[in-house]
Amino acid sequence: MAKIRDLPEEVLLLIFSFLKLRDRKIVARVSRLWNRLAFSDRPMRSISLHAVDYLNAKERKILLKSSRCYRNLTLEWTEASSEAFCVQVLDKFGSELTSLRLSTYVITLPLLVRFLLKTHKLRELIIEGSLCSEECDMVVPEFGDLRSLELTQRGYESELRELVPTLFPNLTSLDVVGAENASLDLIRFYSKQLKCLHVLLEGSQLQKFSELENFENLQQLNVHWPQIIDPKYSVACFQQMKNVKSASISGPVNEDTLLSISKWSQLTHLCINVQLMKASTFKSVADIKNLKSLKLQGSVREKCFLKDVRLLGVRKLILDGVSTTNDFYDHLASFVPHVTFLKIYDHTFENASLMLITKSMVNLQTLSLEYCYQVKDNGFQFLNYLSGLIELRCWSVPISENAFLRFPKCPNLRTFAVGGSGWITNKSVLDIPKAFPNLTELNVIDCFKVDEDTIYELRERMRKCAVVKLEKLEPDREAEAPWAKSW
Amino acid sequence: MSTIKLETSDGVKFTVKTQVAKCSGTIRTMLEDIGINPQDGEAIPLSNVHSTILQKILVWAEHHVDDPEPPREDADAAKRTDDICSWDEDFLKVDQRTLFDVMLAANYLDMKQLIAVCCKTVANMIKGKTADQIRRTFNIENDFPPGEEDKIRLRNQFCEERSR
Repeated sequence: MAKIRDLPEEVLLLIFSFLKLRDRKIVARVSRLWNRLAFSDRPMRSISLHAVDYLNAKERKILLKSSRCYRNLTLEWTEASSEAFCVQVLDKFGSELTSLRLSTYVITLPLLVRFLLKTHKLRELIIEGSLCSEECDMVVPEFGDLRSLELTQRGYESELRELVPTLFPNLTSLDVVGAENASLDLIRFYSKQLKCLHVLLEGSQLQKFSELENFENLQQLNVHWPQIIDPKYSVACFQQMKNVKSASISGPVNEDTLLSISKWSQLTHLCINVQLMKASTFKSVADIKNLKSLKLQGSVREKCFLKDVRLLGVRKLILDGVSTTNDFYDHLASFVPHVTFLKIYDHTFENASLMLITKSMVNLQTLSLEYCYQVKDNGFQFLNYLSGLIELRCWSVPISENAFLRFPKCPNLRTFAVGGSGWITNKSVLDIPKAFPNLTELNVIDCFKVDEDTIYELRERMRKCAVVKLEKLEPDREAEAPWAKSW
Repeated sequence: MSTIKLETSDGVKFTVKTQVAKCSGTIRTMLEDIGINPQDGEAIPLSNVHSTILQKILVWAEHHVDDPEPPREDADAAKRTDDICSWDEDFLKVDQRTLFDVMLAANYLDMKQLIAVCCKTVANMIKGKTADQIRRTFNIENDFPPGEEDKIRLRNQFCEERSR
């Protein structure tokens, strides 16, 4: 008669391999053996010091005595008095770091160089703050191993033009969302070698960007432009981007531009703005043969927008902030017949639309409804049609107090996440086990009317199910958006 | 249809379809590499497995014998635990000791799919619980010196998984 302690270590490791960080941290506190094994397969490589200013002496001491070695470090501070501790942290952990995120108001060049001199293996640097080289006549050293740079906060942009290429001549990944006017100069400098680019284009910048050249190596593109001056304007440089695999283009796109995009034969992940787009223009997405994941943004008003367009390879579809008509949902199943993951963020989405998709999209395994305020309780009856549904998420969806009692049983549903709303009460979460008897994971996220005692009671009632109350969504729960900074 | 005999630790002999027995990597190796000839009528000794557990495991193997090879998983991808099929779920509705006996036997017999589904089941029992609840669930002794658990919590609280 075996007990858990009779299991060999390799089996325990396999069990732990199915746990996420949140549970691994708890597992590490169960016993000495479990502590030793909790992270041994996937060493904890990242450490985030979000509020260096507020760390007390004891916490600082435990940190600096840690025997771990980290690959990724986040340092966030505001007080100048914290800089000394930051330097100590880099003395301790710098030698193995491959990624460093610095978050503060202003980081001076001497301090940055001091940090970088301790991190010989660094590949990626993220600066959330302004880089300042004022009143500084130091010789700027070169850090040729750095491949990826993110400048995500605005300010001091003119200094970046000179400084960044000198410091980091070999970048292949550039995020210049905060670089403002310097961003185009930086892109021009690196364009030939760039594999990943993230940029925000404002005003006349789009036109300048469009005229840039040498993007043959670009694989990931994430570009925003808030508006377009002339609707006839198409982005010329897209024609050269033959090797893009993943693209997020959140700006109005016209026919010519979409035509260029549809010629990217390597493209597997696309996020595109369909606001004001004509159905006749949208048709060319069908030419992207390798597309696996598609995200649409913006409202669609035209009738028959999806009719006669078919994307056979798409498994994941995200309607992000789309508002549209039932006609749109009527054609969804024929548009993406093999979709297994569907996320809908649509204020206008209503029961009739839910009925249309549940009846026709029988392959769905994951359904996520976000901010679908028009969905009424009895709409959830339609989940009955989705016999293969494994995971359901309802985020800010009005579910009234007694609604769960009338939910269909969904025998295959294993994961349910509900959250982000004041609709969910103590009474309603206690009804969840009655609605979904076979759950193995229940996440109650940001429901301020649900208290700890109720969660405790749920755990007692659902012995076979992990009941988790979270303040916010764990990042890895968001399975989507591989284009969002995956480099 | 070819069959072979298996003999458990308590001396019980089972006659099993060869194809079903080959769900076990250990038996497969014995037959193919070491060259035990099942036609001789001699039983393969499974000295680490009790008959009650082997009985149960054979039921599982019989049900899954025609399963296709599972796709190779990306090592970095977050592994799902909500994809246990309902047949397996019912199969594993047993008391803890039987579950761990099955896991030990499946490990000895090298049955990767069965171990994986058992591990998912145990992972689901761990998820969402506090350290104390986990200790009570599995009857694990807290063998930390006083204050150590708190230090571990402190040291780990800053650790984050890279979300990208």
